[in-house]
Amino acid sequence: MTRVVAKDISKLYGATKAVYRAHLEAKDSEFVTILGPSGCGKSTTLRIIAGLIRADEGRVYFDDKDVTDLSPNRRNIGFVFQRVALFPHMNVRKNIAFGLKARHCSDEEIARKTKEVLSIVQMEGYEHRAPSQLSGGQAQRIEIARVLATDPDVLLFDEPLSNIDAKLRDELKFEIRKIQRETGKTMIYVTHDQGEAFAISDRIYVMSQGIVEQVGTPTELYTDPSTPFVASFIGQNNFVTGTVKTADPASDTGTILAGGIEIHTHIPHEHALGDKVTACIRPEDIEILPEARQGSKGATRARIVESIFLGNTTRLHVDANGTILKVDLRGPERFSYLNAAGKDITLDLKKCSVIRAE
Amino acid sequence: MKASSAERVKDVISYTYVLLISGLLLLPFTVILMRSLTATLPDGSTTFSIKAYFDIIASFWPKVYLSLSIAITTIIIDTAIGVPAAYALVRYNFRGKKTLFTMLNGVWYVPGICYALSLIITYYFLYKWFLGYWGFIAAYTCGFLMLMLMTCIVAFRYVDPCYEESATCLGAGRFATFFKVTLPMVGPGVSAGILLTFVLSFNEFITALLLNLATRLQTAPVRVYADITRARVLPSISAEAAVLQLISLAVVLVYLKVVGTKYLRGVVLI
Amino acid sequence: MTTNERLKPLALLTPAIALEVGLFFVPVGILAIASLTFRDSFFFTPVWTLSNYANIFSNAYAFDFEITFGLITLAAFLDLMLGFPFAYIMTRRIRKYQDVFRAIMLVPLFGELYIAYGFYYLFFPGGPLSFLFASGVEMFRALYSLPAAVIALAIYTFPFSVYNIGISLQGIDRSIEESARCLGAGSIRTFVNVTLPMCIPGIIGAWLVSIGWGLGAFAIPILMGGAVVAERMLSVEVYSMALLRMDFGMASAIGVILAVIAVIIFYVSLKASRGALI
Repeated sequence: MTRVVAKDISKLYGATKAVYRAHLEAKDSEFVTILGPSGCGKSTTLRIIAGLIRADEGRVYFDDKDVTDLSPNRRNIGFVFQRVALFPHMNVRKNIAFGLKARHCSDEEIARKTKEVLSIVQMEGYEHRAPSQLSGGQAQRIEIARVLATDPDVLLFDEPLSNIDAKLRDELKFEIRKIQRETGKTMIYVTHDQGEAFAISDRIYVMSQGIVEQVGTPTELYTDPSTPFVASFIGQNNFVTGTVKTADPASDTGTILAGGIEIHTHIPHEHALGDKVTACIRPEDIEILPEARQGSKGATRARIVESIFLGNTTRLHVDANGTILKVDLRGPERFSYLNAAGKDITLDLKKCSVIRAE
Repeated sequence: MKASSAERVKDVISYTYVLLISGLLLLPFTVILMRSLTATLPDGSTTFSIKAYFDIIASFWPKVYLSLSIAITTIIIDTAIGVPAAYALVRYNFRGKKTLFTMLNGVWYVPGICYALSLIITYYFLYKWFLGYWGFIAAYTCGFLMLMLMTCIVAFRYVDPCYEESATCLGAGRFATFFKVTLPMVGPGVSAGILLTFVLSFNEFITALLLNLATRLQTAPVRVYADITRARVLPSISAEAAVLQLISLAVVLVYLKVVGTKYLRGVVLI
Repeated sequence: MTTNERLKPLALLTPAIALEVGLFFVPVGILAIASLTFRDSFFFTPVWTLSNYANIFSNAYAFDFEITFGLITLAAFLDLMLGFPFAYIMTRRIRKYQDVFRAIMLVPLFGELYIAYGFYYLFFPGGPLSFLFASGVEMFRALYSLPAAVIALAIYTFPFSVYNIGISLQGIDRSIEESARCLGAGSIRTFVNVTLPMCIPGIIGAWLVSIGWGLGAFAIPILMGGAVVAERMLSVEVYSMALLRMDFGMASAIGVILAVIAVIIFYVSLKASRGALI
C-alpha cells in the first residue's frame, strides 16, 4: 500500500552508464514491471530501489519518505532474487521465521504468520523440509512466502522465474499476480520476457542501455511504440524508413514514401512534410486485400517469396517493390497460403505507427 | 566388447600406476612406522614390539604438548585475522586489491630458512619479547596466514552474495547476517584452512629449529631431529617421528571423514 | 553488499596487514640490512660492506649454486615425469577412491623431516636395504648420494607439482578434445597434438613450482646430503653460516639471494600457469 518513486536515478560503473536519469513511479498497490534485454539496467534500478546498490545520483521515496540513505534492512521491503536464496542450512520454517526474528516477533506470532503465508503460496505442510528437498518451483514459492511473512511495504522481484521451466513459469506468473492482488502490495517486477510482462503488469517501463525508453500499459506499448527500440523489442515489427510525402494536419493522415512503397496512414503532428520517418507495421496488422478491394487507395502490390507454416500462424515473406515485409496470417486464412511462393498479392499497410527515423 | 576390454586394460594400468606412486609417497612413513615397531632382543635379533612407544612417553609427551599448544594458538589467531580479511577481499572492490593480495601472499614464497633467519635476527634486534613461546606464535601466525586466507577466499566464493543480500532485505542487520547466514555457510571451508594450518604448524621444523637455538624451547619435530643427530636410527626415535605423523594423519582422516575433500580442492588438491 | 564503502574493507584487513608488515616485511627488511654488514657486526656496531655479495657472486660459490640448482632441477624433472601421468589419471580416468588418493597426496605435506628421516633410515648401514650391498662402504655412498636425495626432494615437492598440472588439465575444455576425435584423430594423436600443447603452460608452471619449493628444502639435504652435498646446498649454508660460524652477514646475504630467486621463480610460474598458486 505504498507509493514508490525513484527520481532521476543514475549509476555509473567507470565510464559505463548502467542506469541514466531513470525515473520510475509505482502507485499504491500497482503492479509495475521493468522490461528490457540483459544489461539494460533493469536489475540495477531495482537494486537501487531496494538499497542493495547506492545510486550515484537521484533519490528514492517510499510514500514521500526519502529512503535513499537507508540500508535495505530498514526499508521494509520484500526482495525475491533470480537465484533461489533460501538459506540452505535452515529448513523452510526457519527460513520463513528469519525475517520475523529480525523484527523480534514472538514465537506464537511467528507460528501464525508461517501458517498464513504457506497457505497463500499453497505450500502447507512443508515446514520441515530442507531447501535441497524442494523443486525449483516449490523453492520459489517458499521464497515468496518468506518475503510475505514480514509484511513488507513494497515487493521487489528480480526475474524470479528465469530459472524455472517454461510450463511452470506460466502457472507461477499468474500466481504471483494473484498474490499481489490479494495482498494489495505495491510490486515492482523485473523481467526480460515480454510475454510475462504483458500478462501480469498494470504498467511497464521499457529500458534499454540504462535509459527508460517508454512507459505505458501493455496496450499502449504495443499499439503505440514511441522509439525504435520499443517498436522492435515489443512483439514483431516491419520497419520501413522513408519521408513524409503528404500530410493533412486536419485529419492527421498522410502518406509516406519509402523504398518503393507508398503508405497511407495516420501521421502524428510532430512529423512534418519532408521529415524522415520510420513506419512500424506489425506482421499481423498487414491485411491481404481480396480482389474486390485491390484497387483502393493505399493498396500495395507484392509478391510472396516464402511461406512458412508455424502451426497457429502462417508467416509470409513478401517482396513489395524491393522492400521485404513479414506478414503473419492467423485463423482459417492461414491455410490458403501454404505453398504460395511466387504468388502476387495486394496488401493494406495502413495500420502502422510512425516514429522519427534514427 | 572389444572396446570395453581396452578400457579395462587402461583402467588396470591407471590404478596400478596411481597405487605405485602412492606407495612411493607413503614409503618414508611406512619405513619409519615399521622401524618403530621393532625392538632388539639381547641376542641381537629383532622382533615386533611396541615397547619403543612406551619408552618415549615421558620424554616426548611434553614436546608434543608444546607443539599442539602452539598449533592451536596459531589456528585461533589466524582464523580471527584471516576470516574477516578474506571476507573483505571477496566482497568488496577497491583499488589496489590485487597488489594487496599479492603482498599478503609474500611469506609463502620465501624459502623457509630465509624467513626463519630473518625472524630470529629481528627478534634479537627488535622484538626481544618474542624470544620465547610467543615468538613461535608470531612466526607461525604470519607464516601460515596465507593458508587461511586462500581457503577462506575459496569458501566465501562458494557462498553466493544473494544469501547475504536476502538476509538484509528480510531485515537483518550486519551482525545478524554474518553470524546467522554467512558463517554457517562458510564454516566448512574455513575448517579446511584450520586443517592445513594445523598440519603444517604442528610439523613445522625449520623455524622451530632456529627458534630452539634462540629460546631453548624445543618443539616435537626439533626433538626428533636432535635425537637423529645424536643417536641415528633407534626404534625410539622412529617412534617419535611415527607419533607425530600418526597424529597428523588422524586429524586429516577425521577431517576427510566429516567434511570431505570439497573445500581443499582449489587450494592444495585438484 | 557490493557497495564501495572504502573504510569497511580496510578495517577488516588491518589486522592481517599489520601482521604481515610487522612480522614479514620488517624482518625481511632487517635481513636485507644485515646482509650488508660484516660477520656478526650487525648486533653490535655495524660494519657496512658489500663483501658478502661479492663473495656470493665470485667463483667461491659457483659450485654451491651448481649443486643446489642441479639437485632441485633434477627433482623437478622427476616430479614432472611421475606427476604428469598421475595428474592425468586422477583427473581423467579414476572415478572410485578419488578421495583416498587425494588424501595420500596430502601426506608429503606433513613434513620434509619425515621424508628425510625415512630415506635416511632406508639407506642406513645395517638398515633394511643393507642386504642389497655387500660392504658397508657401499651403503654410505648410497646414503649420501644424489639419487636418494633427488627422489626425496621429488616426493617433498610432489603435491605442489601435481596440483599445478592438475589444475591445468582440468582447465582444458573436453569438447576441444572431443572435436579432435570426431575429426578422425586417434587417442594418441589427440593427446600429443591437442591436449599436450594446451598443458604446456601448466607443465612449465609445475616445474618452476617444484624448483621454488625445492629451494626451501632443508631437512632433506641436512640429513641425507652427506659431507659433499649438505654443506653445499644453499639453504643449509644459510643455517651453518649463521649458527655454526656466526657469520650473520654472509648468511643473510645468501638468504636474500635465495629469497629473491625463489620469489622470481614463483612469480614466473604463476604467470606461466595463470593463477594456480600453491
